[in-house]
Parts: sequence; C-alpha cells; structure tokens
Amino acid sequence: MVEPRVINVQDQAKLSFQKVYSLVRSGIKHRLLRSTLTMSVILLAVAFFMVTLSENVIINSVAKGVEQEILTERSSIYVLNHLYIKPNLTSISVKLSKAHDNERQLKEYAAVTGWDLEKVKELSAECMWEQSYYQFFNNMSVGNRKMLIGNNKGPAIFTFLQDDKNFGDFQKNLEPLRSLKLPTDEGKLQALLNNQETFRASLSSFLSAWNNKIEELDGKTQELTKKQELNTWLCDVDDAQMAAWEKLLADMNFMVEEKAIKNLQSDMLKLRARNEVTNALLSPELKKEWQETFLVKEPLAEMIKRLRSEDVVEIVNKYTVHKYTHEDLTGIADNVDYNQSLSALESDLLKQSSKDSGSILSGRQTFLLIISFIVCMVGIANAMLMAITERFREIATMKCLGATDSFILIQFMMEAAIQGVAGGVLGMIIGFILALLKTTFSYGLYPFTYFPFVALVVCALVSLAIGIVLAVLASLYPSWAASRMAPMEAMRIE
Amino acid sequence: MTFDAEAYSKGKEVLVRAHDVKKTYQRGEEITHALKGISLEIYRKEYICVMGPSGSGKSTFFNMVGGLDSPTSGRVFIDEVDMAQLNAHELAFLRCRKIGYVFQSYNLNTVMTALDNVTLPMIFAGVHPDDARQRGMQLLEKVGLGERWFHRPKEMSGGQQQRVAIARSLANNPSLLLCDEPTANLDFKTGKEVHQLLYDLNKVDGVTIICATHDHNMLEVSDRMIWIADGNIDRIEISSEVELERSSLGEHEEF
Repeated sequence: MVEPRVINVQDQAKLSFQKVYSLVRSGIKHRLLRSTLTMSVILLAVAFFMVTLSENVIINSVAKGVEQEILTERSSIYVLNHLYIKPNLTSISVKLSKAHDNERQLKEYAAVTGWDLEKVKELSAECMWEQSYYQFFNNMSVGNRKMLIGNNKGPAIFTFLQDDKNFGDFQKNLEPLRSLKLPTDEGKLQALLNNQETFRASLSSFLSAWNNKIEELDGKTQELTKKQELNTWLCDVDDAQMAAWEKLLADMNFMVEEKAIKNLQSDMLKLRARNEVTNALLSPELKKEWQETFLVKEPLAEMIKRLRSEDVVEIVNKYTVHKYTHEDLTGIADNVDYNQSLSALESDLLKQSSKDSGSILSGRQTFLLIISFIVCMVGIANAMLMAITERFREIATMKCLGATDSFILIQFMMEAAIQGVAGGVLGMIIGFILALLKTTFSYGLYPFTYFPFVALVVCALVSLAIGIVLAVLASLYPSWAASRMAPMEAMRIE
Repeated sequence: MTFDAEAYSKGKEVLVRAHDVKKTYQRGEEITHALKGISLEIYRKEYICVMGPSGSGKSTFFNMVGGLDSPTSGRVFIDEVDMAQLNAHELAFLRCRKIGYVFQSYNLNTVMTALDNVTLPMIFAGVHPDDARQRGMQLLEKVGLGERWFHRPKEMSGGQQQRVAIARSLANNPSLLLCDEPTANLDFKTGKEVHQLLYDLNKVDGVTIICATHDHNMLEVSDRMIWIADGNIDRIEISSEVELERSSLGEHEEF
C-alpha cells in the first residue's frame, strides 16, 4: 500500500475582507425584501432606544437651563427672603443641608451667628442626613411607610425610631423590602438616632441665634427706611442710602453678592411695575372702562396680551400711581408671559425629574428597553435562521466549491452587521427626530436653546453600537449553524 | 460478464482508490449499513458511470469518492491523499482544487452572473480577480456561453445553467469531475448536448469524470460502468464490451 500523501493547505487563500464584503453586498442587494425586514426590526429597537435616551437627555438639559434661568430671574427675591424671613426648625434644616458644600454660605452662617465654622459644618452635615431620611420616607409608598414608621411625620419619625422596640420592628419590616435602600448603613442610622437630642438642641440653638440676628437686622433696616416697606424703599433709593444699607448688612456679617445687590433695584422696580399693573387690571373700575372701550369682556390673560397695544396706555395709567409708557407696558406683558412659562416648565420638569430620580433612564424605561432588545434579537435570529434554511443549498454548494467554515460564518455575520449598521443609522435618525419633535411639543423652543449636542452625539453612537451588537449577537447561532452545514446537502433534491 | 481488473489497470495511473469502504448510519436504535465494504480503483482520464437503484448506497459511495463524507471504516485516497486523515479545513482545500462538482439541480448562485458563478471557486482558491475573470471567460466560451457571461441563472435555460455549472466545476483545473445525475432535469436534446460536452472534456482535455446517472446516452460514452446494489459493487462492465449485448437484449432498462 502506498503511503498517503499529506496535502499542504498553507497556500489556501485567505479571502480579503473586501472580497467577502462584495459577495455579501451583492447577496443583500438581491434579497432586498428579507434584508429590509431584518433591518426594520433593528431599526425599531434602535429608534425606540434613541427616542427614550435622547428625550431624557434633552429634558435634563432643558431642566438645568430653566433652573438656572429661574435662579437668575428670582435671585433678588431669594436674597431678600434669606435676609428678612425668619426660618423655622424645618426650613433651617433644609437650608443648612443645601449649604453643605457651599463654603461661602457656611461662612456666612458662622459669621452671623457667631458660631464656630467647624460646628456649622458639622450641623449642616447632620441636617443633610436628616433630609435624606425624610426624602427616603417620603418617596416610599404609603403602605410601606405605615408599616415601617406608623403615622409619624417629620422629627417624630426619629423620636419614634429611638424606641428600641420600634427600631427592632423597623429593621425586621425593612428586611424583606429589598428595593428600599437606606441612605446610610444601619450603624450610621443608629448613631444618628442616639444623637437626636443633641442634634435637635444644637439646631434650635443655631436657629434662635440666626433668628435673633434677623430680627436685629429687621429693626435696623426699619430705622433706615423710616418704617417704609423694604421693597418699595429699594425702588426709589439713592446711592447714598443704598450704601448705608449695604454697610448695615456688612456690619452684621451678612454676605450678599455684589451682583445680586446691583440687580436688586431694577428687579424691584420690575416687580413693582408688574404688581401695580396686574393689580390695576384686576380692579373693577378698570375692568368696566376696558369693557366699554374695547366692547369685550376679557379674562386677565387676554388683558395682558392687549397690554402690548398702544390704546391701553391711557386707561392703565388712570389707575396706577406710577405712569407707564407703551414700551413699559409691553415689557411688563413680556415679563408676565416669561415668568408664567418658566413656572409652568418648572413644575413640569419637577414632575419629570422626580419620576427619574436622577439617573438618565428610569427603572420602567430600562425594563421596556431590555424587553424591546430581546424581542429584536429573537426577531433577527428568526429572520437569519429563515434565511439560512432558504439558502441551505447555496451554502452547501459554496462548501463544495471550497468555502471554509469560517468563510460561511464571517459571511453571515457580516450580512447581519451590515443590516445592523443600516438599521442602526436609520433608527438613530428617526429616533432623534421623534425625540426632538416630542420635546419641542412639550417645551417649545427650549430644547433648541439648551441643545445638548455632545450628549446627543454620545446617545447616537451608543444606539448605533447597540444596533450592531444586537444584530451580530442575534446572528451568532444562525451563522454557526450555517457554517456547520454538511456539503453533501447540496446533492439533495427537493 | 467478468471484469478483469489486472488486465484493465495495466499502464494506467490510479486517481481514486477505495479500500474496503464501509459506512453505517445510526438513527436511534436502527443501524443502516449503507456501504458494506467497497474496494475500487478509478484511473486518471477515465469516464465512469455509477449506476444503482435508489437506496443502493450509490449516493453514499459518490459522497465518499467526492470528499463530501468520510467512511466509517476503510480508506479513500484521492490522488494518493487519504480523505479520512483530513480535517475540515483541508477537506475544503481539497474540494476547492482537486474536485469539481456538477449537480442535478445546477446549484448556481441565483444572485450572481454566470461569470461570477464561474469565478467563485477561483476566488476561494485565491486566484487574482483579473486572472479569474480571464479564465472564467475562457471556460464560458468552452461551454458555448461566452456571449452570455453577464446573465443571471434566472435568465438562462436549464441546459445553459448546467453548462455554466460545468464551467464552474472546471474552474480550478480539478483532477476529478463529479457529476450527480447531470441530465436528470433536462430534456432529451439539451441532455445530449451536456453529454457531448462531458465526453469532449474527457476525451479532449483528459478530465476524469465520475458520473451517477440513469441516462443511457451517458452509458454509451463512458469507459466503465459500476453497478452498485445493496451496499456492494454488483458488477463492473467495460462499456465497449457490453455495447453489442445491450443493443440486442436491452436488459438494463429497469435502471
């Protein structure tokens, strides 16, 4: 018997990427219907992902921008409230917890009350824990709250938990509720509870120190303004008087930003004008005259719209102490509109952000997305399996002609990847347009003002990548099955 | 009719050697012996017809010789290469360069043009695309379809498709051409054309052809006929010797 010869496969050609690609491309071109179907499955999943993600990104960006605008618009009010309104135990705790990372604010608290800065910092940190626990209890469902802490609210929660038996029950009841995560570990909670008395005492002593100072400031300011109301006084004050007021604040260690003081007067003037005109519009006499002049009975919103026309100047000025020009009234109307839209957005966005609780995707959205991905993968895998059964003779023939297993595998994977890219790009574009339309519908032009370009590009890339990964993952098994097909299948006759 | 192997093989070069080839299929408890020990030598430039009723093991034998399947026991050598020793990659290499396949239902890639179909095996073999196109055109001209290289299978008749398939099978200059009932789907006239083509390839170009067929036209042109029945070689006939016999008796009509 002759010794068998060994064949040398070293010179077997490695197919170039380009060659495989051109084979795959012509395959897709001539099976356009099936490819389109597979592509649309990917398209839908990617579009859904892109809509959800970019909508959230846009809303977050708008929320941030609007929050900034609101802060600027109302900064003067915030300053005055801070200086002249006495907080209570709850609101001082909120204020302190908000100030925990604001060095300047903490310094002001320390300087005004004469407390040590370190002690104020400590107090602020504890307030933060307290607030986070309030939030924790507020966010849970009523049933859970009742079971854990009964009907207690506010500081009473802590008093309730200080009782050893109650705390034991609390721990026992919390155990099975795995979705509820304490803001701190239990040891820290226990320490906080043990510390309650001292914390409460130091908080109220801080409060009374702060309130005493505010009372003092109030008294001194009244002397300065000769018992006039501060808002009104600020409107007509001259530079010397303003300087005197600033000095008074500085003497008592209150720190107000220079920028805020600069805007204070114009803000107050704007506020006064707005209040005066809206109050005038609400008065029955003006309403009567308005009705006689324009022969319509209008609600306040319509009247504010009409403020922009020149023929109302005379009527309005009859009922206001200060006299306004046409430009003034137009400005007031714009200001009212702007404030209204801001407030509406604020409440809208508040709702949105409380639903999302900080992260980009809420739990429900993540769940829906994962389901859609699974459905998409099953769809693609099914379509690919169908494509392979349909082409089994072609695959077997290719193997007869010398195609290796890996060539068949790569061919089918590449086909899926191309469909993934096409579906991904289209889905990305469609998803983006839908998200933009949706947010424009709810927030007007704000999405364009605060257009989160970089974040959206990241979203687009992520969704494209997901499209490709989904397609390739789903085609893994079908491609493998195709590559393992025996070449003799080609001989079979249907 | 006896076959004198020694006398026949004199001065001929062995291309395919099957030695005690057995193949069993197991489906659950049931074991089927498709081949029960076939030993055979096929020589270079020979034209062989394999005949046998369905279920005789003809297809299994065909697959063994074509490198599509490996035997349960025994050995198959093609060009002195032992098929049983090869892994999947080496088998693919062998199928690509040593063996050409012609199928009953043509099995052309429906989305490719005739030329693309013919050049596909050359692409697998790593031939430069320009050379592949040139050779592809030559082959298409040889089978008489030089004018129709840009047509897709849908636009061609069965006979034309089969001729494209034959051109494709010759792409890498195989030592062996395996034809599985190449004329079964064709009418008498086109079937005859395909025969003529295969005959010319064998006689003029010296291609070794193994052909499974029921077609009597095919038997006439073959050198040897191998009759397989019940997993064994029933008999081997040299066609020049049986021609007279058959014309008078017509005894093989049942096949």
